[in-house]
Order: sequence, then structure tokens, then C-alpha cells
Amino acid sequence: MAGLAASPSLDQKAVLDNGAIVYTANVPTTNVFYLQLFLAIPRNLEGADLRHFMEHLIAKGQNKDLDAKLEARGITLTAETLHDGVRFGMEGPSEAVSAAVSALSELLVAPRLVSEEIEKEAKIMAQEEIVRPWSARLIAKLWESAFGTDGRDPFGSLESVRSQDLQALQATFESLMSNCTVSVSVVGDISERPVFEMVSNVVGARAKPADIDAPRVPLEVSIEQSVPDAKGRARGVACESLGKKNTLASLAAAFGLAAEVPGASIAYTPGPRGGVVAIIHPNRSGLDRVDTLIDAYSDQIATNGQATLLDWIDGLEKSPRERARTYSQTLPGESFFRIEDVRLRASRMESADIVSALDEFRAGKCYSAAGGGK
Amino acid sequence: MTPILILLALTQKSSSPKVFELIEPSETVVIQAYVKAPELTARDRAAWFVLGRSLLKGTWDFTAQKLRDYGSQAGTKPEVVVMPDFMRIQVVVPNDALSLGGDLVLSLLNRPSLTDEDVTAAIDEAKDDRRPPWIEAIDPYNKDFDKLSVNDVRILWTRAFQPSNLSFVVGGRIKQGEGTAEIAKRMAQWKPQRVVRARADIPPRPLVATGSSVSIHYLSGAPFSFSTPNTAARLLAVFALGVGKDATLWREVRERLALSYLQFVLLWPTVEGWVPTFVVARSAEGGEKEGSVSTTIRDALITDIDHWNEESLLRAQAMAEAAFVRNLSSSPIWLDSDGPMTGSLVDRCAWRGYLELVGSGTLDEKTLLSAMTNVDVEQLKVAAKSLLDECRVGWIPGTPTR
Repeated sequence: MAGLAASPSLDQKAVLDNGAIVYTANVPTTNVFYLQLFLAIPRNLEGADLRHFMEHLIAKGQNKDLDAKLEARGITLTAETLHDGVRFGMEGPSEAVSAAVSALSELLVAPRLVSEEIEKEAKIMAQEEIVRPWSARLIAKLWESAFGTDGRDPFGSLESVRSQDLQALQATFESLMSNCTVSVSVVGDISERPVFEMVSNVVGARAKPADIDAPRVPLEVSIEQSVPDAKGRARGVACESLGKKNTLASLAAAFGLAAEVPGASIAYTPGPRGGVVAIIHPNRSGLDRVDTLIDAYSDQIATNGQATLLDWIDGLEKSPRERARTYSQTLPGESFFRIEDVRLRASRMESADIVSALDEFRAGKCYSAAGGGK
Repeated sequence: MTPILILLALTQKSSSPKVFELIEPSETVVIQAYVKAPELTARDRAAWFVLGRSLLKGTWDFTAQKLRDYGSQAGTKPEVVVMPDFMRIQVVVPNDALSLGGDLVLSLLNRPSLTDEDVTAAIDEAKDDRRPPWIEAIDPYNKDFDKLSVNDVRILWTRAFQPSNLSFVVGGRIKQGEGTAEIAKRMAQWKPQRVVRARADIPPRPLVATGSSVSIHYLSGAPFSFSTPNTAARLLAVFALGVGKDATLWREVRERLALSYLQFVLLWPTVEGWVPTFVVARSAEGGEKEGSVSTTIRDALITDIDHWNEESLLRAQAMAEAAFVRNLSSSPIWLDSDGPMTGSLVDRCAWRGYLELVGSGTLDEKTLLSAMTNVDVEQLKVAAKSLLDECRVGWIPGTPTR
């Protein structure tokens, strides 16, 4: 088997010689597969703010007919750009999984650019900007507050797109694609071994990229940031990757608080190299009671939050789609990351850990963003 | 004497709401009540929305906290979903708590507190509750909460929450007849409310602006249910026209014309049937030309139909199967305004409840998919053109940003 660093057993990840990560898991009787491809693109690479634009173009396929080919087999393709890279998701009937794996090769190369297409896609991105949810705008601001330029909005900049000529843009895309680490998860009603081999053959042939990224370092808390084209309010804290204790404590705290505040919800934007846990509310005054709640009910909130966290982690394990997503967004150094270990760690957390995390959500201690609207 | 007694028995039976059971292995039991809205004036539309929000603030038997605590034991909070012409009240309880579930649902229906404080709070919350413009636009009528009084909401409750407007679904691990018996027992205790006449008012006023920088262009078709002739071809046409990135809507409106990022089709559930609705959200431009975009969209969809072939048909059938069998995230099958139907017990109960609401009866997904595989290309084209011909074309302008 080409390029395989360690022989995998069932339901485990393997790291190939070129650093690519492959995870497969069989979940019988679902008659469906979920495939997640994550391209971890270092944020300090030149042109990294063009990732979102690149994602739009890659998703069409090399001959702009990828969706037509996939949908004829009942497979759908989604794409999104996150803080640490670009994620593509395919799902479809189990019998079509090989078609999805074959499609991977079209998603692993830089798109071939045509100038009319660039202008058209820039127009579409401009339209995307205006329908962005208010919550996404608030969370983007929290990331900036927490990590500065390391937390730049993955939406990117249309000015950057328009300022480059075709050749320069093509070169930038080639560089981004050759410097990314690839991670593929396939979960569902599949024959694991053949699927694993097929995926490994596709992703194992790539050259190994240099690892030039580093964990994010949170900045000092600043004053609340205003987001003119959003509503509501968000309070967030910086965290590490999902398996870390501080992340789990922050999540438990956020779950607990959100349950106590009518209309509040939690937003967790993970990043393998650092993320943000936030509570958000559609009204600017919706989170005003948070500090009072922490003063009066921290133990109860911690207990309830931990229970909700465990339910949420169970959901990651039970849902093949969520499991594929979670496993795809890990780093080569976390090759032994397993959701059940995360659950064990979460169940063993002491109440004091969560109470301490709760404290970090107080006004003035956490990052905060408020919409300029009502 | 006997014939009169029989007549009375029939009369009593015919006034009992229908109860449908969905028996399947589950750790929970879902109880859903459906309330058809009466004819609504402009003020009523706002009152209907507020009424839904007010129910969970407490009943004469359970405080809001108790409703939440008792009703959340199975991990799902009690929920009231308000659609423009019907409401769904739902409680999910553990397997062994069917009786409690019955108590909660019937208390919500027949004995809501609707205190001044609760309804006033619900009005304030409703004013602040703004769904995205592309969802608001699907029911493009104004809801003027400022003109609403607490009494308007109470009066609407007396008019709408009558046994003749109700139906129920009970789903989960229950014995045959158990759900029906539970509801019947509660309905026997129903305290009839005197129907109070509402204040005179005007008909609902259409939404004239989105109140955001987004304009919405829409095509809204004729409602159909699964008892409408030619349903399979019509439904397949919805998939061919609007579901997936190789569907006409995406290829023409987004890829070729670059008019929008967000465009989708849904089957909007009403008591008349599903209304096929195409929605395109784009930045507001202002000016007279903007209104013609809706027509451009419709014309682009119609023109594309002539190019459909066997591949288009097969793709639409594949997408339909994905929607019904694999919970496709872009499925057009909506049961409320929260998005596509999933495979959860709650949604399967809601599917059952909605089909009964529109008089479709039971419908097996396999039967429906099988009917769709029997549609040929020509039938698909005819159905798609007919569907678009029936569409009302409109737009709701946003406010251009400077």
C-alpha cells in the first residue's frame, strides 16, 4: 500500500508518509456515506486571504462539471472556508462512495482560471457577503479580537481578488494547494478497507508540504467591538483544539449559560490551532444577565453545562456526518484523537474547572462584539 | 329512541378531533397538536404569531418553568411552531410518560394563562424577532404588532382553539389505540370557550420592504398536495428546477447570470397544500430596473426547460431520492419555516400531521419515489412549464446601501 506510515485497524486514523490523514469508519445499515475533505492551509502563507475565493472555484471541478457528475449519482457536494482551511463535504448512497473518492482528485488541484469567470465569481462573492448571518459577523469580530491577524475573517477580501492579474492569481492558488495538509474522513455504510485504500491512493501521491503553521496565541481582552451590519451581541473566549481540557470547560460553561438565558445560543468555531467558544444573542441586551447568573448559580450552571456537553459529544459520535467532520479537522500531531477519549475527558472534568471557565465569560474578561443594529 | 341515540353518538364522534398514531420503537413519545387558523385579518396575523409565543409562558395548570421542566425530560423542549395558517404544538416525553404528555398538550391548548404580563411580553419579543428576509418573504404579509392588544390575542384563541380545528399525531413506542385513547380522554374534559367576536379590521397587508439591504425576488406557485393529479411529475419538476447545483435555478441564476449567491426552492406548507416557492436573495439596487429581475429569473428558468434531457430527469430523480431517503440538506420538503424535513421521529410525526391537515391521507415515501421514476422527460418538461406558468412573480425591495 503506497505511502502508508502505519497499518490502520478498523475505525482508526492513519497518517500517510506525506502527512495526509485518512480516517474511515463503517456505520452499517445507514446506506449512506459522508466524506469530508479538509485542506489545512497555513494562514501565514501569502495569498491565504484568497482561500475562500479559491474554494468557490475548486468546487466546480476541473471541467466545471463536477456537480453534474456527482448529482447524477445522488451525491451532493458542499464547500466552506474556515479559519484554518477549506472543507469539502460529499454525501450520497453507499454504492456511490467510489465516485466520491474519485472526485477527490478534482478537489486537490488548483483550479484553472479564466478571467471572465473570476469577475463573475467575484460578483457572486459580493452577493454572499450581503446574506451573511449576523451571528457569523459577530463571531468573525470575536476572532479578530482574540487572535488579531491570526484570526482574520476567512471570508477574505474581494479587493485582493480584483487586484491580482490572472497569472499571479493562478500562481497563488498553486502555492496554496501545494502547501496544504490534506485530511479525509469517510464514515457510513462502507467497506472500510477498500475505501481506505482508494482514498490513500488519491491523497498519498501528493508531495509532503512544509509545516509552517503554529498554534494561535490569544491577545489581551480589548473593549467591545462594534459590528455595524449585524445585530445582537456575542461574548467569546479563546480555546485550543477540541480535545483539550480548557476547550471542554469553556464549552460546558457556554452550554450552561445558554440554557439559562432565553434566546441565547452557543457558537463554537474550532480551529486545530486555536478556536473560539461564544454565547450569542439576537438582542444587544440579551446577555446583560450573564454576570448575575454566574454570581448566583455557577455550580448549577456548571453541572447542567457539563451534561449538555456530554450529550453534544455523544451527538458527534452518533451522527456519521458529524463524526466525519470532526475527524477531518484534526492535525497530523493529533492522529490519536478519538471522540470517545474526548467524552471521557469531559465526563471527568471537575465542577471547579467549569466554574473557572464560567468566570471567563464575564463582561470585561471575555472578548465581546455587538451589532450596530437593534 | 334508539335511532336518536345513535345519531347523538355519531354527532359526538364527529366532533372529536382526529388522532393519528405513528407506532415505532423509540425511547420517546411525541405528541403534536395541529390547530388550523380561522380567516385572519391584518391584526389577526400579528395576533396569531403572538398567540403561539404566549402559550409556553404558562397555563392554569403549569407555570412556564414547569412546562419546561416536565416537558424537557426527554431532552427536547416543548415547542410551538406558528405558520401563517396553522400552528403545531409539540411535547416530547419519555416512553412511560404518555399521560404526562397528554396533560401538557391539552393544558396548552385548552387552558393557557394568557395573562396581561405574558401576552405583553410575547408582543415585545415578537417585535424583536426578525427572521432572515428570505424567510420572511415566503409569507409576504405585514405583521403590525404595535396595533395589537392583549385582548386581540385572547379573542383569537377563543376562535381558533376549538375541537373542530384540532388534529393530533402521537408517535413513538405506544400500543395501537393508546395515543387515541389518551387524547380522547383529555378531549372529554375539554372546557368549551365562548367564541368572542373580534374587532373589525382590514385584510392582511402585503410586505412592501424587507427592511434590510437584501431584496427578495420570488416565484410562488399554486398549492398542491399528494391528492392533486400529476403530483409525481410536479414534485419531480421542483427538484429538476431548483434542487442541487446542477438544477436550473443554480445554473442559470447564479452561474450564468451571476445574480445571486443565495437561491433556493422550497415547498411551503399551507393548509391548501404545498406551495412551490422559488426564492432569490440579492443586494438591493433600487430603481425601476430592479423589479424586472424577477421576470428575468422566471424567463431563464422557462428557457432552460427546453434543454432538459434524460440526464436532467435522472439527476432530478436522484435528488428526490436523496431528499426522501437521506435527509438532503437542500431538500425542498419543508414542514415549517425552520427548514427541510429530517428523518427524526418528530419530523416524521410532523409529516403525518401535515398530510392529514391537507387531506392527503397517509403517503409512503417509497410509493412516491416509485411514482417519480415513472415520469418521463416530456412529462417532466410539461409539468415544469405548467408549474412556472402558474407562478405569481414578485419582489420585495430592500434598501440599497450607499
